[in-house]
Amino acid sequence: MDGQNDFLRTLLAHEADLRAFIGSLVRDRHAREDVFQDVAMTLWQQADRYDPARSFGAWARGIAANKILQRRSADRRFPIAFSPETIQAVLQAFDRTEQVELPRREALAECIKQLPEAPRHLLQLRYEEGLHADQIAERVSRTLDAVYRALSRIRAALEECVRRRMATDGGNR
Amino acid sequence: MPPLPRDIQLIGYYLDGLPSAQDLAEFESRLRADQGVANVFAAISRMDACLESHFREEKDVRNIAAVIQNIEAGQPALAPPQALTPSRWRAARSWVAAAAILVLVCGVAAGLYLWKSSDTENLLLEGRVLVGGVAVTRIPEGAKFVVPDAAPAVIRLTDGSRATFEPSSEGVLRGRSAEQRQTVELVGGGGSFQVAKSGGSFEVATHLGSVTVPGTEFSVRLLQAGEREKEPARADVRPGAMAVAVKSGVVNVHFAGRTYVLREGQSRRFAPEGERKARQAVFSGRVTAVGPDSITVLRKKGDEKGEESNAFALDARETKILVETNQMESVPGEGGKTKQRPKVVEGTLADLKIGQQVDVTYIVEGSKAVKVFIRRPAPPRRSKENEGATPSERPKLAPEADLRPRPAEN
Repeated sequence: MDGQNDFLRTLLAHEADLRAFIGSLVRDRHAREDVFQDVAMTLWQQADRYDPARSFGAWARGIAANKILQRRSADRRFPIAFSPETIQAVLQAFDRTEQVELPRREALAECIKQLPEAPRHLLQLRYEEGLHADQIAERVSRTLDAVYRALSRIRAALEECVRRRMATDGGNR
Repeated sequence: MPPLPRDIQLIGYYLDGLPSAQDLAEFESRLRADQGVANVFAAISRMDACLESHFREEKDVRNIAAVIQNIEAGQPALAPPQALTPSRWRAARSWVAAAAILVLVCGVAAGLYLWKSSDTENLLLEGRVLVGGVAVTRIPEGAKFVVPDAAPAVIRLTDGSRATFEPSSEGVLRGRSAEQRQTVELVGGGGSFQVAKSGGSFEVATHLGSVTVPGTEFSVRLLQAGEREKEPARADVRPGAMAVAVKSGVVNVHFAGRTYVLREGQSRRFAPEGERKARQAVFSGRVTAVGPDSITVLRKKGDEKGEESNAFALDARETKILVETNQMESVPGEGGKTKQRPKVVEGTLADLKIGQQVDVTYIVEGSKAVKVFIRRPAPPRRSKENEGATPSERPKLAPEADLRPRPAEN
């Protein structure tokens, strides 16, 4: 890699996707932040070893998967639900569907603005307050299954909205 | 194959709740067995992460803004309770009073804590800032930070001033020193500063000069050689000039050993004397080679007995290409009369061809082309009114006989 600036730019472009990968395996917020910091530091230290012919995202995720496996074997209380084989399957899925996230943030913000009040409130309870589905169900007086279904539908709708918006923006560029 | 409803359900259980051991075993088995399910899980996980990041940022910004608003309004974090003394509480009045005092003490302590926090930390209010490649919300003093996004970053500094850094800006927050109550070192890019009124001076220091103020609102922008002030900042080139604009109050600009006073509404660009002249020059001649990132130009020497060739680096983003066309346009001339001259349009590097006559404005150190003016290939027969209007006939733009580098026209 040419220099510090190049590295920072590349890391920045892949940061959200890397965080998403780590978050898909490590559900505890604090633990996943620790893993991310650890991975970012390792990427920084090993920047010279990066082969530009290979995807930076794949390289970074590979390091992240190794870090998670190391923590898993070193500390049995480390909060991860998946076996090493499943981690590998998820890693491959992220590699197959790799994307760089930056335009997505803006598109997502716009799509969230368009949501009606009720689904937006559900998202706030889930992501801002960090409540689990059962806690949300209690808060909004709905069944647990209804909350699971609603969250899945909202995410799918947002995914579709973001895809449409990015396709439109891409066409306008 | 699209995911089954059960797969979506399992993903939901995993991401939004606490799945049972049985659900988890089933989910893991599906992820390993079916790539389609794993792909969908990756996509939903990405959305999950984006949502979490979005709502967390929204919450952080709201919280910080509320704390700062309270601090600025001088409100304690907790208000003392109202003195209500119904008769049945009279016996317990001393306890109520003690509780009120305790709440008041807590409120004052919380207020002091918030004041102390705001005094000791540089808080990110809006946008993103990286320190050592990692996004942070508190910027440590002495650490180099970068504004990585296309949006500016707003930072509340330890002295209560507010700094808005432009995209791609780089700097170091130095904090209090013996001479200044706050020093912001600007390494690249630019920023606007709303300076809180308090004792001591606020300083923005650059490698070119510095600006000090007791309390006002102003902006400082570092510019590369030849850069226009409205262009986005770049962090990878050492700036060659400094622009200062004052929105309110008075600032002192210390530049090249002198101090300049700028007042409200004034702005000025500060560049080292002679630097721009020394840095840029024009080379006029015929194109003999064109590469993807370079161009070679041959020109006659002043004594007409020899030729010299020079290669210039091209940059698709930075090298401006201007093409003189055969189409004529009317422009205001002397005495209010209009005159005709060839129309000049903006081109791209692809317009450069071997054999063209060009004027290359370049940075002397490194021979990087800033601007290439492509003259029209075959000027039409000169008419009286066109005479002296084409660049090839303008002695100032095409000094083929002049071998000395000379300043570029801006």
